[in-house]
Amino acid sequence: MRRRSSRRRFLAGLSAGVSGLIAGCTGSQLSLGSDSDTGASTDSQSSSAESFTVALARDPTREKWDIYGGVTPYYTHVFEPLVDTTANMKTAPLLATEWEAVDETTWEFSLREGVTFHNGDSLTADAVVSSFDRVFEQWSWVPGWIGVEPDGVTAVDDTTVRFQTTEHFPAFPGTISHNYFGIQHPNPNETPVGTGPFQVEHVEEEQSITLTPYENYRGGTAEPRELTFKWVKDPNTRVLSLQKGSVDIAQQIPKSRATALADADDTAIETQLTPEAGLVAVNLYTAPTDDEQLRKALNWAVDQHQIVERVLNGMGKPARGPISSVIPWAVHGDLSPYGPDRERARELVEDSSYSGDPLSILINSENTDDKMVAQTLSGWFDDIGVATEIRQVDPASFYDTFTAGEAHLTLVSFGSNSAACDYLVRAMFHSEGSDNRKRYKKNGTGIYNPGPEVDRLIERGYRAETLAEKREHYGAVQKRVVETGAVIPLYYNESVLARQATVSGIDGHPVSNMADWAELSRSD
Amino acid sequence: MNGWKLARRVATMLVVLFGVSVLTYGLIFVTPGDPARTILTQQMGGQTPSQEAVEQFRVAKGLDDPFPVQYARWVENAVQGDLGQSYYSDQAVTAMIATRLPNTIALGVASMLVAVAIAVPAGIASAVEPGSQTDYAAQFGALVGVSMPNFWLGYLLIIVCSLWLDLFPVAGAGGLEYLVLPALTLGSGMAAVIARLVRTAMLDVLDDAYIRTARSKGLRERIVVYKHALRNALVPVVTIIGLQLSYVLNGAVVVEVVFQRPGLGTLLVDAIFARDYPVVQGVTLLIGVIFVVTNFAVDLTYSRLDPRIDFGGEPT
Repeated sequence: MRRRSSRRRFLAGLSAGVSGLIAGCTGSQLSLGSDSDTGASTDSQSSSAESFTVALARDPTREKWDIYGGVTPYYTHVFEPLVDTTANMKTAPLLATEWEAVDETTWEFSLREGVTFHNGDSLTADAVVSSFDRVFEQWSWVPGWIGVEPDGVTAVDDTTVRFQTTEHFPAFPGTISHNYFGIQHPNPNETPVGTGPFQVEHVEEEQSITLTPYENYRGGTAEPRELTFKWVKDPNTRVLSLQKGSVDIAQQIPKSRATALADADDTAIETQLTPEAGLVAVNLYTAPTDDEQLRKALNWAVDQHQIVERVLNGMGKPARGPISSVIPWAVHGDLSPYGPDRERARELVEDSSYSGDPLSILINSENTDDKMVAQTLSGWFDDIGVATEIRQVDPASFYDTFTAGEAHLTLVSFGSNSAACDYLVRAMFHSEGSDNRKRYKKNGTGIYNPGPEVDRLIERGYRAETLAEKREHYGAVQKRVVETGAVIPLYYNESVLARQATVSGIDGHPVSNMADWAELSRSD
Repeated sequence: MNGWKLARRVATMLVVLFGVSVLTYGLIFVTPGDPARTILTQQMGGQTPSQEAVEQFRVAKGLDDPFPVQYARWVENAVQGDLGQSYYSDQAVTAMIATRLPNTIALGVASMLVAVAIAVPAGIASAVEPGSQTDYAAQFGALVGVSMPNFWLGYLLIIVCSLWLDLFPVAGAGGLEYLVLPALTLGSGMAAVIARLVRTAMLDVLDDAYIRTARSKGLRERIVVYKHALRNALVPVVTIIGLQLSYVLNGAVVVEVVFQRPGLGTLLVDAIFARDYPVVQGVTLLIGVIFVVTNFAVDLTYSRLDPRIDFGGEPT
């Protein structure tokens, strides 16, 4: 009798404990997210006339480095850099109105007058210096990235900032148009303080950020009364959240789902050509792809239009070169497409040294489109008598495997997040570029760097003072790598976002995280 | 409870955890993938970092030191309760785990409750009338539950319960309404396994002589099944429930992504893909602790269910 009652007490206690545990765990979440939650309350936000919720693929709070106070510098427009990136990927004034190279390694930027931080303080040169110093202090690798000494940013006077670069670097203004270099108030409180059109209202760690418009913004107050960026990592869940009405806009929609969203009455999609190009990097320093005849044959076999239409659901632009046509010095229009002409490709294969062994195609498992692209290419190559095998590796291993030269063909996609795109051509085709450096240092080879002549062209382009000059040198590089078959161009990528059909006013940008939300509105 | 046995058990647990830490650290280290380049690429929004930036990152994070030095440094800090800082966010790993752990605990406990609530009645009903339509239906349900991938069931539940019926939110973390669909998703797979085991164990027990004796005494069938048979059938079931903890942790990886719940599963997967060693090591160690402690708890529960078994899991 005593044992039975004891067991009952034990079970009752266990039940109470379990209930308490669940309530405790969920309760802690409630207390964290009581006023700006991600679900039920978000549903009601969506129905509000002036509040909008944007679902992002990456956590808007994960970038919780001290320097940004827990707010991603991407997407949110809380912080603004000195230099803007325009829709045609050129530099334009933003917090700086003009800049000039005082000498080969010194730049001076004049600040816009009348700019205030969200707390009402004026933007000064000292604030800019402090903001850069904080970035350099937190991330010791950043000065190396932008070619500035750690103590190379100084205030000349109240409205002039000087940057000392480590070498002659004409593309420097574009480099600091990256979101990394949004200017912050020198004495940030717990809430991050910038100069942008939106200010931070609430941060829900690892879930969402809610912004409100900065009413004294120099360009006028933004339209949305409230703007929430919510993390929804899984692409299918982002689509379902949009269909449910939990979010108004969903970024980075899978191309395979985009058509259905475009056809539905309640939802619509918007696409934007990006600076990212998808291509096959051909290993020039391993047999049999060291044979130019074979590389040209592979190029003749590929139909870029089919890749865009069949694999990318029509979202993208067939490529002729390795640099997206949205980048100002790309020479897409000057490049001749190979084909497709598979008869000619077969003849070239027969004339080449190809012996019948399969070529390896390396792909990144994270990119779902790449697998379909690789399978399509494999079918075409098989059609011209070239066997292939697809090797899929995880994202963290992908780059090391690629730069170690372990594959004959690698599906890569590269783009820029700022107005400085020079690094692309350098990383890809210069022998000392990051893609080729490992093997070049080891045995003087590389991956898809055609050699000293191209290296010299890249160095000239890097130091070019004008766009025409840059285009001349970088254009010659693009022609050279296409003509020799060092690459097989595939597509210039288009980003896809989906929205409720009633939502309008999204000002897209080639760099998707620079899209402008200031004019968002909703129709009944 | 014997003090010597307890001490021996704790010592074994510590050895297991040390082995887990060495293996995890070693495996991550030999896996291809450079944390400096991977993390910088993510931080820069997909842009390729310069070689100078990569090298400076390595120096800043101590990644240029040999493996034994890095591991010794980690152990030295870990025994003092410091699991290091994330390479990605510079946050303390312990703080990251503390933020995420409640979500995973809530999901684990709720899904286990769902599993037991479905499995035990289904298993009993199936065993009491073997070969009946109820039995076939329960077995078919169990087969479907075992076969269905978590992510697929998750999407299905979202479409039906959220989009069509408008009963629950699509995704997120917060109140109990956010827990229902993830718990059903994760719990159904476990329910299938447990239900099959309950059925088998009950069938064994129901054939025993003492059950025939109980029936011949004229006891009501309900008393025979629930009071006499079920309790003795629960010993293997408790074992499998303990082992199902691994299923909870594995399944949480998928379920947390589908339902956008910030938990340990997503933290671990993101850290593995970013080669964020301190986070991988910290979470793996915690999972190791959970496993050994759960096994210990299961052994204790044996003695509660059957006093003939001591807490080490051995018959007395």
